[in-house]
Amino acid sequence: MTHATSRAATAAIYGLSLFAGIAAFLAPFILPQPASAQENLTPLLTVLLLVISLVVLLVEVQGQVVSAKVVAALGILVAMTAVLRFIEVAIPGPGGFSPIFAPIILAGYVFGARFGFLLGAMTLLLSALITGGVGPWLPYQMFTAGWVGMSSGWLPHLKNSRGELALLLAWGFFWGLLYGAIMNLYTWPLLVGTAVGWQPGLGFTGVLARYATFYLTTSLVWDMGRAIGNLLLLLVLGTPAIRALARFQQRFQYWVVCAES
Amino acid sequence: MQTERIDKRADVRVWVLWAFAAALLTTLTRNPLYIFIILLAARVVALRWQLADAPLKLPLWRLGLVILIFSTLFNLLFVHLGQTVLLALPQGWPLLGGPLTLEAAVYGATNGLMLLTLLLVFMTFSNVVPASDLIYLTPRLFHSLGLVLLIALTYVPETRRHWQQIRDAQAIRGHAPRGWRDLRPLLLPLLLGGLERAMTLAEAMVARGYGATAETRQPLLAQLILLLGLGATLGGWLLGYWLGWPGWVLLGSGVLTLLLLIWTLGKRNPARRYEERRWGWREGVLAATAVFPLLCLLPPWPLLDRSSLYYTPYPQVSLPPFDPVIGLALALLAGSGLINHEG
Amino acid sequence: MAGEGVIEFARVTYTYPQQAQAALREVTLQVQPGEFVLLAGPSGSGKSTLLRCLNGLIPHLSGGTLQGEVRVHGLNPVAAGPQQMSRHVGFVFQNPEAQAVLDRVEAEIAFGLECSTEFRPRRQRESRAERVAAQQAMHARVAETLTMLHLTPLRQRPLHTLSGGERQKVALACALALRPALLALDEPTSQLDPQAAAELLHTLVRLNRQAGLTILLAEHRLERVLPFVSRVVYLENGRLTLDAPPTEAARQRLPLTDSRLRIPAQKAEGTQNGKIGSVVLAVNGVTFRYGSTAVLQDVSLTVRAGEVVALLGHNGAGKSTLLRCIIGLLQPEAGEIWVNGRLTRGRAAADICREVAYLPQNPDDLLFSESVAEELAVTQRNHRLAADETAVNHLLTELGLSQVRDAYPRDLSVGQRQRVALAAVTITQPPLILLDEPTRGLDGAAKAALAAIWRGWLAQGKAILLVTHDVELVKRVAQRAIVLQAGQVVIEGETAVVLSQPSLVGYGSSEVYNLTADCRPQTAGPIL
Repeated sequence: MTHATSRAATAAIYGLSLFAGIAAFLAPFILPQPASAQENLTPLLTVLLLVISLVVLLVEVQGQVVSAKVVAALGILVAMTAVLRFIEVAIPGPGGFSPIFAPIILAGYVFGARFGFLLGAMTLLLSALITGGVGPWLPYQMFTAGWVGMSSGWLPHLKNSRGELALLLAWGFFWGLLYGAIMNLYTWPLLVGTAVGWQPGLGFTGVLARYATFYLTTSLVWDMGRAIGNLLLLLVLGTPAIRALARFQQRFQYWVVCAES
Repeated sequence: MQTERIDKRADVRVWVLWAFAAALLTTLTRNPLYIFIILLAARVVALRWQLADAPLKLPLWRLGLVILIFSTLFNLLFVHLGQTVLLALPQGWPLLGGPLTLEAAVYGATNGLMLLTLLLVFMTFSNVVPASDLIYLTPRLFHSLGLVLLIALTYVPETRRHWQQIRDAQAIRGHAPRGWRDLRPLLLPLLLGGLERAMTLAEAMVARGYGATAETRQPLLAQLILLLGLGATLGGWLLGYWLGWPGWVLLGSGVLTLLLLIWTLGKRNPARRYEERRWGWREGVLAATAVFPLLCLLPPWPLLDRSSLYYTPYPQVSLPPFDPVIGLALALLAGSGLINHEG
Repeated sequence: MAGEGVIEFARVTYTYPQQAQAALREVTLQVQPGEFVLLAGPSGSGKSTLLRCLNGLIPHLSGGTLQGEVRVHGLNPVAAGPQQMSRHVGFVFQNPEAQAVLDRVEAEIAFGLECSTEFRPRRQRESRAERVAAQQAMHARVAETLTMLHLTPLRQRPLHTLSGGERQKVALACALALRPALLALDEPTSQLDPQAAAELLHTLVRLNRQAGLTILLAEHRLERVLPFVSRVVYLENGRLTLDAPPTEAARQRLPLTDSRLRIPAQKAEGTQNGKIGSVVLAVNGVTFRYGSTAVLQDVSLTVRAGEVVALLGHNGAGKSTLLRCIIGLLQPEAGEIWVNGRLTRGRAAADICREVAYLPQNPDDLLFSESVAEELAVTQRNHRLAADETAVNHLLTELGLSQVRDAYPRDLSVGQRQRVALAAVTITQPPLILLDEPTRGLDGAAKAALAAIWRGWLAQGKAILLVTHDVELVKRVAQRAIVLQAGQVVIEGETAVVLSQPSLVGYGSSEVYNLTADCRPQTAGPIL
C-alpha cells in the first residue's frame, strides 16, 4: 500500500513540477500587465519558479539514483554526450542541429524516464560548466532537455524494430522543433523587452501573434535544422545503439543468490 | 608553480554571490549608462581573476555585436511607438508596416546591451571558478548528482582522446566521412567503449567503499513536503501578480520549506568532504563588493533618487539620466579587480 | 571456522548470472599475512573472479551464485559487503583509464576516505573542532600515502595529464589510502610499458617486504614477477591446479612462460619460402615536428616481403608518430615514404591503407558491427571492393574465427577480438602489415595464436612492422629490430645483435626485473 501511495506521490510531483515549469515558460503569455516597480523583477521570479520546479524534480528523481552502476553510467554518458557537442564531426549539421538529443532520447528510451531526465539535465549542466555557459538560461535548458529524456522513457516499447525506429525518428523530429519553440520563450521577452511592456493591453492572443512572428522569422529554419539533424542521427544510430544499451542494461540488473553452505 | 595557482583561488561561494548581485542589478535597471558600468566591472574582474585554464572563450565582441544589431533591428522593425520617425513603411505591410522610430531602436539597443552584460557576467563567473570547485558546492542531498558531474568532468578529456583514436583507427581502415551513415563507425565504438568503462568504474567505486549498491526511495513524508513546497511556490508566484504581498509571502514560504527539506534530508548523508573551506580577508572584500551595491540599490532609501534606474526612451528619446551615487555603487562590483591575488 | 590466514577459501564455487558454467569451481585457498601470491592462468580461467570474491564485488555487484565459504580478515565479504571490505582489501584494476573517479590526484586519493566510515562523524551533531580534526586527519592520510608512493610532486596534477604508469600508481595510492592489510591487483601492468610495469612491481615488492602488506597479484607476464613472489597459484578453467612456491612451480613445467610462441627455425636469411623478397616499405630520411619539437629526425628504414621487423623504443620515442606518418595520417616535414613501390605523399590515408593494414593498440576502436563477418564486409565496402564472401570465409578460417562468424564481436574474448580486428584490417590483402602493441593484455595462448597467423602471412610474402615493448616476442618472431630513441634510429640490425646491445639493458629485457632481488628502499621515509 505504501508503495502505491509513494508511486502516486511521485506521479503527482512529476505532474506538478511539469505544470510549474510550463507556467514559468509561458510567463510572458499569462502574466497580467505588472505595475512598473515590479516590472523588472519578473524575469528573476520566473527563473526562481523554474529553478524550484527543477530542484523538486531532481530531489524526487535522484533519491532513487544512487547505486554505483547508475552513477558511473550516468557520469560517463554525460561526459560523452557533452563531448559530442564539441567534436567536429566532419559532416556539417544543418542549422540548429545539436547531436546531444539523440543520446538523450535513446538512453531515456532504454534506461527509463528517470535516467533520461538526469542525462538530459546533467548534460546541459556539464556542458555549461565546461564552456562557461552558466547563466539564467541554464535552468530553462536543463528543464527542457531533462523532459526530452523523461518523456522518451515513457514511449511504448514496440516489438517490431522497424516500428520502434520509426517512432523514435518521429519523436526526435518532434522534440527538435519543440525544443526550439520552448527555448525561444526564454530569450524572446529579454530581446523585445518584457512581453507586454512596450504595448499595453496586447492580451494573450496579441502576444501569441507577436511570438508567432518572432518564431517564423527567426527560429523556424534553425529549429527545422535541429529536427532534421535529430532524425538523421537517430536513423543512423538508433537500432544499433538501442541494442548496445540493452545489452548493457542486462548487466545493470542482476539478482543475488547466495547459497552458503 | 601549480600550488601557487591553486592557492590564489577565492572561495566559490563569494563568486556565486558576486555573479548573483551583478546579474540582479543588470536586470533591475533599464538605463544603458548603468548597464555599461556593470559590463565594464565584469570585464575588470575577468581580466584580474581569470584562471589560466579558463574554459572555452566565446568570441565575445563578435557575439556582442550580433546581439546588439539583432535586438536593435528587431525592435525597430516591429515596434512602431515613439515620436522621432526615421522612416515610414506602408501601413498595409503586415507587422512591419508603420513608422520606424529612433525610440524603438534605442530601446532595442538597450535591451541588447543588457543581454550582453548578463552574458558577460556569467562568462566571467565561469572563467574565474573551476568547474570542480563549483560542483563541490552541491548540497549534501545531491551528493550523487554532484558525483555524476565530477565523474563526467574526469571523463571529458578521456572521451575526447578516445574519439580521436577511433577516428584514426577507422580512417586507416578506409573509412571516410562522406555522409550521415558514416557516423556510425565513429559513434558506436565511442558509445560501446564508454559503457564498458562505466562498468569498470562502478566496480572501482564500490571497491573503494562507495556506499550504495542498491536504490532507495524518498520517504513518503518528504514527497508530500516536496509537493507542498512546490505548490506554495507556484501558487504564490501566480497570486503575487494579482493579489500582491500575500502571494509573495506564500512564494517565500514555499521556497523556504523546500530549502529546509533539502537541508534536513542532506543531513542523512554522512559522507565527509575532503575539501576545507576557509574564509579569509580576501573573501570578505569580495563579498563586500557584491553585497554593498545590492544594499545600496535594492531597498528604497529615502535620499536616493531611483527614478534614473527606470529610464525609457519612449515617447521621445532623451539622454539617459545619471546619478553619480548609483554609478559609484555599481562600479564597486569591479572592486575585487583591485585587490592582489597573493594577498 | 576462523583460521589464522588473511584469506580462507573453502570449496568456493561461483557462477555468473545466466551462465551455465561455473567461473570458479571448488577453490580452496589459504593465504597467510605477509605473503606475496602470484595468481596465474590463461585468460578466462577465473583469476579476476577470484580476486573479486575477496572484497564482495562478487556477488554484490555482479549477482550470480556463490557457494562455499569465503573469509577475508576474519570477515565474510558476502555478509559484510563491499563498503566494509574496502577498509581491509585494496583493489587495483587492469585499465588505468577507467578506474578514476575525480580529475585531480589529491582529490582522487581522498575519494575513498570520503566514502569510508572511518572518517564519518561519530554522532549526529559534532563540534567544529571535531570536524576540523577529522578533515586534518584526512589530509594527513593523503599526504602520507602520496609520500609512500613518491607521488607528492603530482599532487595537484589533473589525471589526464599523467602517463599510464603514473595513473596506475595513483590507483595503487587510492587503494592504500584506506590502509588495507591485503592488496588485490588484477593484471595491473598489462596496459603499461615495461619500465612503468617494472616500477610498479618494484613498488609492490617494497610494500610487501617493508610494510608486510599481503599481496595477491594476477599477471600474465610471469617471467617478470616470479623472482619476487612467495607462492604461485595457478588456475585453469576455474579450478586451482597448482599451489606451490615459485621454484617448485617452475619445476612443474606448467605453461608459465610463453614457450608456445616460438616460430620454428627462422633465421634472418631464411623464411619458409627461402628468401626475403622485395622492399615493401621504405622510409627515407623522414623528419616530423610538433610545433618546434622534432619528434622524428631523419628516420630511415626498410621492410621487405617475408620478414618481421620490430620497432622498439621508450614511450615518446616517436614510434606512434612514425606509424602515423607511414599511413598518411600525418605529413612528414621532410623525407619520403614508399609503400609497395608508390610514394605516399599527397595521398589520402584511406587510399594508402589499401596497401597497408594497421592494427591499432585498442582493437575495440574498430569494432562496431553486429557480427564478425559484417565487420569484415565493412572494410570491403570502405574500399569500394565487391563483397567477397569466400575471401571473408577464408580469412576467418585462417584466423580461427570461423566458429564465431556470426557472433557479436564485443562478446568475444580479448584474444578473439584482437584477431577480429586483425581480420578487419587485412581483408584487403595488403602486402604490408603494421602492428601496434598487438600483444598487450594477451595471455600466452592468445599470443601463440597470433604468432602462428603471422607465420602464415610471412610465407605468403607479406611484410610485418611490429611495434612493441614485448622483448620476448621480438626475440621469437622478428628477424630484424630497430631501436628508436628521441626520434632517431639509434640501433638497427639482426634481432639477436640488437637485443644484446649494452645500451638496451634495462629497456625491456628480462634483466630489468631481476634488479631488485634484495629490494632496498629507494629513499628513507615512513612506510605505512
